[in-house]
Parts: sequence; C-alpha cells; structure tokens
Amino acid sequence: MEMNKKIEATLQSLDGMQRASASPYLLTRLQARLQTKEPDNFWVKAGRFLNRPVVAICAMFILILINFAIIVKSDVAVPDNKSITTATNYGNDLLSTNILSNYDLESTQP
Amino acid sequence: MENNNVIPSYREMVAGLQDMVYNTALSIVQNVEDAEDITQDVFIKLYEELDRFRGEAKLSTWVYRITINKALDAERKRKAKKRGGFLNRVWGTDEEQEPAHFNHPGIELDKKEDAAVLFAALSKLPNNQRIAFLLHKAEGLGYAEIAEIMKISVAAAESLQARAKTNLRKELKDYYQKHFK
Repeated sequence: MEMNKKIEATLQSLDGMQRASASPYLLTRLQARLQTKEPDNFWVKAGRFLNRPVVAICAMFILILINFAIIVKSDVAVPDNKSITTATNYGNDLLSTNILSNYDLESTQP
Repeated sequence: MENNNVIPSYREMVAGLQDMVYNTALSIVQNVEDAEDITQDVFIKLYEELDRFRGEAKLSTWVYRITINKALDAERKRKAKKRGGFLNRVWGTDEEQEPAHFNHPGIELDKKEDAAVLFAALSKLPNNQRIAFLLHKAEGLGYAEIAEIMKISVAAAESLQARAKTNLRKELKDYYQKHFK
C-alpha cells in the first residue's frame, strides 16, 4: 500500500515542472559556429545526396536488377559451336607440328 | 556580411525556440553538455534548411522532430561509446563516469528525489513511449500535438502514453522493492 503511494507520487513528480533554460550564450555560440563553418564542397554535397535513404535504396535496387539481368542472360546464352571448333583445330595443329617444348623451338639449329 | 539579412529573423527564432529545444533535448538525453550540443546542432540545421520548410506543419512541430531525432542520435552514439568502454578502461583512456541520477533544473525542490528515480526508469522505456511521455510531461503538450510530432494518430499517442505509464509502474515497483524498506 505504502509502495503504491510512493510509485504514484514518483509518477506525478514531473507535474508542474518548469522548462529548463538554454544557455544565455547560445546565440553567440551559434553565430561563431556559423561564421567559422566552411561552405560544403562538391564531395560533401555528393556524399549527403548518396546518403539519402531514397537514393541508396534506388541504387541498391538498380544493382540487384543489373545482377539479375546478367544471371538470366548468362543462363539463356547458347554455347558458341564455332569457337569450340576453332579451339579444337588449334589444339590439333599444335600436336601436328612435332614441337615438344619451347626449348625445341629455340634450338632448331642445322 | 552576407548573413545580415538572415540573422534578425533567425535571432528571433532562436530566442523563441531555444528553451523548447533545450528542455526537450535535456529531458531525453539527461545530460546538460549533450543537451547544449544538441540545441546548437538543431539551430545550425534550422539555419541551413529553413528554406526547405514547406509550412505543411507548424514550425514548432518541425523543430520538435529535429530535436527528438538529434537527441536520440546522440543517445545512440553515447550508448555505442559505452559499449566500447571495456577496452577504454583496459587502456586507461575512459575518464568519464555516468552520473547516477539526473536532476532536471525545472523540478520543484521537494519532488527532485522522486523525479530523479522517474528519469532513471524512463531511460529503460522504448523510445516511442518515452518520447510520448516526455512531450506530455516535460513540454506540456496535448495528445493531438504529440500525435502530429510523432506522425501517429491521436489514439496511438494515447495508447503510447498509457503503455509508458504501465511500464513505468513496473520499473518503479522493481526499483522500490530493491531500495525501499
């Protein structure tokens, strides 16, 4: 019972409270900060723009779309028969030259 | 020199809103130095972004929102710094100690002790409940204004207030069971 009274009294302890007053030097400090503040350069503005949630979400969405498009495209792509044939022919040509190593190429003295 | 046209109206705005901003920030962060820094940051942001104010809401509503966001950000940073406090203690760089109880300067003398306990209990509430409770008690705002600032319905603001009181009762009961005999 006693505790309930104490709890209620504590809950009501903010009733009738006055506003706390800000420092009387606030305006002076603000003016000093505004005067010393350098204007934002391009990179600061660009960073602020990219930090916006809308921009960040859009950029992420575009990246996901590009990734998705690349994956879909690579799945659909048909193997190029011409390039496989060319590679096979090149292999056969190499074997048919009877050259066993790079050393043989260099030491072809009469 | 360029600021001369802007400063008079800005000066009036600072004079009219400074206590509101400082009191709100102080009630949330419960630290005088942090509240002063937040107050300055709020007015710097106001100076930079006043032209973006569309007048859809009252100026005070917009300023309350900026203040609350800045105060919650500062609190988050302080908590993150505190979490890294172990390493600081190991390396001996952490000199700062958290004050045990916060005494708001606007509280009547005979209620100061109870208010300090209440502020400690308030810091354990979820942010939305704490903000709704503080705007009502520390700033004397009605539910309609709180709802507008927090971008919620009036019923939701009332519900937040009721839940805040219920949770505060639980916190205070735990506290007094430990400390009150």
